[in-house]
Amino acid sequence: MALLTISHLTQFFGGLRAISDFNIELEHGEIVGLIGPNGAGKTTVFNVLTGIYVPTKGTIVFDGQNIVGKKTHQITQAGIARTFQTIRLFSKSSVIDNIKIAYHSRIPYGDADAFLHTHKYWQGEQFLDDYAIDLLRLFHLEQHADDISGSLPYGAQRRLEIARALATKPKLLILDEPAAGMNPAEADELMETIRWLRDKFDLTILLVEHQMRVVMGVCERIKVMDFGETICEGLPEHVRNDPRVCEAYLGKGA
Amino acid sequence: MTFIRTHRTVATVAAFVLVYVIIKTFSILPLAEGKPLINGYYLQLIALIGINIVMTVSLGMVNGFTGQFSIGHAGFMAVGAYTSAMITTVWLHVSVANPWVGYPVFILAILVGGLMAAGAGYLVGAPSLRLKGDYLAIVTLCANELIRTVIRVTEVLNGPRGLGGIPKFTNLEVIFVFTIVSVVLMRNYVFSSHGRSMKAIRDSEIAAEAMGINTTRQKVFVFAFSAFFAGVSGGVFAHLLQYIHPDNFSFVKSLEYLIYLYVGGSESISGAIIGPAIFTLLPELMRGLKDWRMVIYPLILILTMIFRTEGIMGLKEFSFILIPQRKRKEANT
Amino acid sequence: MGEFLQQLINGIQIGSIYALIALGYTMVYGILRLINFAHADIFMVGAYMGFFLGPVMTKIFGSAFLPTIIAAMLVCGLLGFVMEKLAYRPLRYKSRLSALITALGVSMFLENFCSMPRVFSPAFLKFPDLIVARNIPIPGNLGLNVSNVLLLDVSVSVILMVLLFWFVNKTLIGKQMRAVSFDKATASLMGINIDVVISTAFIVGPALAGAGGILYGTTYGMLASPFLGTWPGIKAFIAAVLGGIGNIPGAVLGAYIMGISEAFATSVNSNLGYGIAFAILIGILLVRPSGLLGKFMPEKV
Repeated sequence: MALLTISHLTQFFGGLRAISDFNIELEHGEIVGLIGPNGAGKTTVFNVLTGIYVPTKGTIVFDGQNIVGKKTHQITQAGIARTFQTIRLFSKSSVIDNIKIAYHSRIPYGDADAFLHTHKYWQGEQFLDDYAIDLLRLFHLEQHADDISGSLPYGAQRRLEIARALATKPKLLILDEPAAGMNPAEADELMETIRWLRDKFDLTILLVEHQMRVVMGVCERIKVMDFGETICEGLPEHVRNDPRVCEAYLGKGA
Repeated sequence: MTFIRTHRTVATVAAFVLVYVIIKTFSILPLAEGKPLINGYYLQLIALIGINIVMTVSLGMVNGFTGQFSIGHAGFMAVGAYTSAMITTVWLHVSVANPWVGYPVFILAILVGGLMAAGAGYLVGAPSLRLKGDYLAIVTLCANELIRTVIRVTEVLNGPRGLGGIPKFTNLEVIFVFTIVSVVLMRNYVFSSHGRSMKAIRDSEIAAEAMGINTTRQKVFVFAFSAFFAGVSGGVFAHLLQYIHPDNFSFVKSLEYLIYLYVGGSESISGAIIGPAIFTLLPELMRGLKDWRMVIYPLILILTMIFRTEGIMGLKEFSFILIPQRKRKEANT
Repeated sequence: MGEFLQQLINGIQIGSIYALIALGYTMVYGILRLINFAHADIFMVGAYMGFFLGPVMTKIFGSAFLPTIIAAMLVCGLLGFVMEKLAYRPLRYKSRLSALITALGVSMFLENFCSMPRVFSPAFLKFPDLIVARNIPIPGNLGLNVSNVLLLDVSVSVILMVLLFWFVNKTLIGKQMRAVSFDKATASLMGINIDVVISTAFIVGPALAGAGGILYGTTYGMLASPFLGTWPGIKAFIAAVLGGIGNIPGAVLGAYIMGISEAFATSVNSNLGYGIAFAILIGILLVRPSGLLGKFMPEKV
């Protein structure tokens, strides 16, 4: 059974149709790319998927349950984690606190323990500190653990955003333009990271990206959108040679 | 447990006990021409500082750490003050003369007052916390004034005449215990996973929600418990002044707490402690200036804000506020 | 029927005064996103100008009202200008909250400074008769009580509001103000001098509040103390929010809604009249989170 099944998803904003009849199935362990020109509706798909918008029509079944109408935090707890197109770290908190915050929904103590700093609190905090530092270490961020996250260099902030998403223990990770602002060398490294993430954390990954090199290099399947409609989907080679895709990006006659 | 925390806690407690003993001694010893140096007036001032600290720290939970903007805190104080005063004075008629009955009733009464205030906080917070920034501020201000209007028109509460004859249960010991316990509880909450998610909401509500935090629940909960502490402060305040009037709790009072908070540093518990401490004492320290003191006072306030925009403490904390950190273990990957 | 009309008229009268104050709140908020708490005290200074300048003006010009209101507007405009330069400008690019606390400080300063014995003194003062109050007979048997003061209040505010609309919509600086309030960064890239625009808002808004102060004094015939601005100020501020803060027609609409509902509620119970404003506002904000005419801007993800 597919991990994620979106069927007949349609989203209107007033009279504007941002997505029309969008369908996708993600199998466990796949890396799938969602591409299309600006305004094609890619980020809107992400926002519907994560519960920021409630879709006008359609169903989204994740891991056997319908998640349409659920709140964002419930969807995250169900196992979908995301990164943002423009970095949205908790910029005044320390690097390690960013990780700990993402772990919050599974924290092993309650409000009362928090007020009284019970034994359970100290145990929980100690466990969480170990967990967070281990996760940071995987992303080579452990030496920055106590720095304010807003002060990190750009590349490190991008890595921290992915690490933070992982701390929610997702099954599906969705990346919104992870290569934005990266040079080719950094983008190559990112592709490595994405494959490594999938294997190490047993993830399914859906990503929106503009850099064709990254999409073609890492995705196993690609879906192309334009004006809210799916115009093409399939293997990277197939998509690369599809005339409709060229047309969407470059215009007719190109 | 590898956290090193015991000796600093002991030192902090010892410091507070010492301060208490000093104040108590000088309030008893007849050093100034047969009278104690710290007279009733100063004891009242110390009590007001304690109350203002708890009010400010609890306001800081909402405004500083969670990044919401409430300016109606005095309304919740009023709920607590009136509830507790009604219990001790009108319904149960307890008095200071009989402390064995009086104090348990008083403590119960201020806790019930706190709970009523928390309920009011929930009623105000639940529908309005989806509003952002200044609009939330205005709804809380209006809620403050509505609470005051309700008190004014309610005959049982003695309406616009105010409620008098409240027994004076608030003494130095009550103030010490009340202030320290309240501040410690709130500080503990800030230094927990829940406190971190408050700060996450402040930094980016969308990202906090995307990280699995139920931001609505967290915001409403913080708002309600902040109102709880405001309610308890109100109870302690009522049993200090022995007379309460709806006008004691207008939005002007709420704005006072807002000033204390931001002058001290809204994102720091230490700031929310020294802000009210300094600015409650300041008019006393300037007594020599006579008429001019209330003119100089706002000027000091303005200059503080211009030269220390983030408040006196900024983001810093006194070391006794912080949670001791253990040394992290070595790599094990 | 007569009673209903009477309350309506009273509401319009008080609404006119609220409107003049509300405009200043909304203009400053639109441009700086600052709740200028000191605005209420500028209104108070305007009212006291009537007390001090009224008799002088009578001596010089023979008639008092027009020269006094102009003088009060000038004094308040100057005060607003100086206030912005000294207290708010140093905080312009810092946290918005520190500016808010500074505004509270300025408010407290004005109240306490004006309360000093040699300034305005904290005492209750009788406001001079800038015009001779007269009842205007209304035909019909409704028993309406309409005075020339009422007509003056309404007509002065309407004239000033029309002038303000003209100023904001037709003059260059007014258009610049609207541009800055829409998007400060882009406006400054378009070559608009932000400093000039902000100073203008801090002159025009307080000048209107000064006029409101004179009307207030003329209407109530007394000045309670230099703290008298607090309550009309907060009511006017709430009116501005009700209409959608930052929106000029919204502030006027909000002020009249506020004045009229308050007049009706007061006729039932004076405490109710006091609280009604707050209840209305909470109700409206929960349904329309940006006020009646305000635009809702959702956060982009």
